[in-house]
Amino acid sequence: MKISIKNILFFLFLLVFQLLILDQTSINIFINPYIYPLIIILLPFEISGWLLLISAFILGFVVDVFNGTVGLHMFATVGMAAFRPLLINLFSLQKLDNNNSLNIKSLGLIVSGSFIGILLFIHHVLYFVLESFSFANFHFLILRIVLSTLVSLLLCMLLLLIFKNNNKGNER
Amino acid sequence: MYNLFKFIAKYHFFLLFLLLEIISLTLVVQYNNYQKAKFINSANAFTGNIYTIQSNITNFFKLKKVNEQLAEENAYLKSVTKEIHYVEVPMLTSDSIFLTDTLFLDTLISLNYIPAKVISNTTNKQQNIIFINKGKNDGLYENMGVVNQKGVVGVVRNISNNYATVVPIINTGFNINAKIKDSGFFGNLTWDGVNPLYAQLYDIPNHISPQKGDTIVTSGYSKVFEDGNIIGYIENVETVPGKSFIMIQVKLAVSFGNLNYVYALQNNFDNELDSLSYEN
Repeated sequence: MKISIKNILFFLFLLVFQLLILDQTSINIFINPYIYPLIIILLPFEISGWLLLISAFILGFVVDVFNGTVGLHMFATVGMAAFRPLLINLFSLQKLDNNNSLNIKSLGLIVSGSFIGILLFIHHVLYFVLESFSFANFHFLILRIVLSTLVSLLLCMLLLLIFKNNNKGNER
Repeated sequence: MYNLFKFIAKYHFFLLFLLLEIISLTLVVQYNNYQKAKFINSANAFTGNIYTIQSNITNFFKLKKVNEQLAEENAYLKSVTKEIHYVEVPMLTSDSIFLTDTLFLDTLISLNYIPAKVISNTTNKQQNIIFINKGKNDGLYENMGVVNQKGVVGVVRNISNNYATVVPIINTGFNINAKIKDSGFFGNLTWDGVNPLYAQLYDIPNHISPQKGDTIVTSGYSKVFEDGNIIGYIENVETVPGKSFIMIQVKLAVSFGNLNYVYALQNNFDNELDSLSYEN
């Protein structure tokens, strides 16, 4: 398994898009999209567990440093990464896809969408609960989680369709 | 011993997951309080430089707004200097002669304004943070008050040589002692994390009936802000059932959505105040 330069560039693009555009525009208090977890989601399926967790930890740290928060994104991203092997088994993605990594064309929009959606939802729940650090405004918290997850999922699918749809089945 | 290694090898994924989550959770809990968050200094040269490049690009599109703000501030400053020019000199009469200290303007200057540019700013998070492009080299230090032409912005938290982060009022960890300008009653101002346009003032006794539009200012009980910096205006007053205090919704004077230039308040008597508070 190897990660091509094309993928690394796409990961860097995701990170820059997150840190310098999404985090800077402050769309609305209810809409805080986070698309950087897509980097962890798109890693090869058979990546070893410790590498997956460590890369999630480092990625969270980078986002934390840029956002001026401490530990929030680290916690959410590692938590999400831990659910990834479980979901891959549940969806039996490895059997469906011979590409070793998520590919919309071979998996179909619904399967890949729900896989990404569930993982993003886990990330957002962990992040927003820890961010508010209380359940005082419960309905407010729920609304933030749901709306942000929907917008993140929409953005992720759009980016994947734009940038990842045309290179089906070559390298990797 | 062998069994222990076998156990670790078997459950390494879960154990590593647990370890990493405990590390991050400890960081969150430990540094949730903004005064303590000094372990990871996000105001470093790396993030600062990247945000500077980014804001240089996006600021181009904000120039019109920035110009308007500066013109507004100029107009305000002009009106203030006019007032200073026409200080009324008391008439000298033959039987009673008194002189006021005409140098009072000089002797009372305890504050320097250090201008800084906002290079990164959010309003949609619970713990919003502002990055500014001035740091230690420009005379900034921790726990410095930050204002703009409209009112109070926040307090300097982390600092590096050329950059600093500011905790704004719209951060759930922020709280400040504030008072109603007219009546002088003071309370605690915090942000509930819901609407970035409003903050909440607690602990005002309920026999006070403040009017909508009254000014809320800093109380001057801390050395961060002097007495009378405008924070906002009363939007509405809510009674808390079963409590002898009221809760006041304060419309913030500063619009955090478009924040371009801010001033850090350098207090020249800071060391003096520090030494006093240590003695007591």
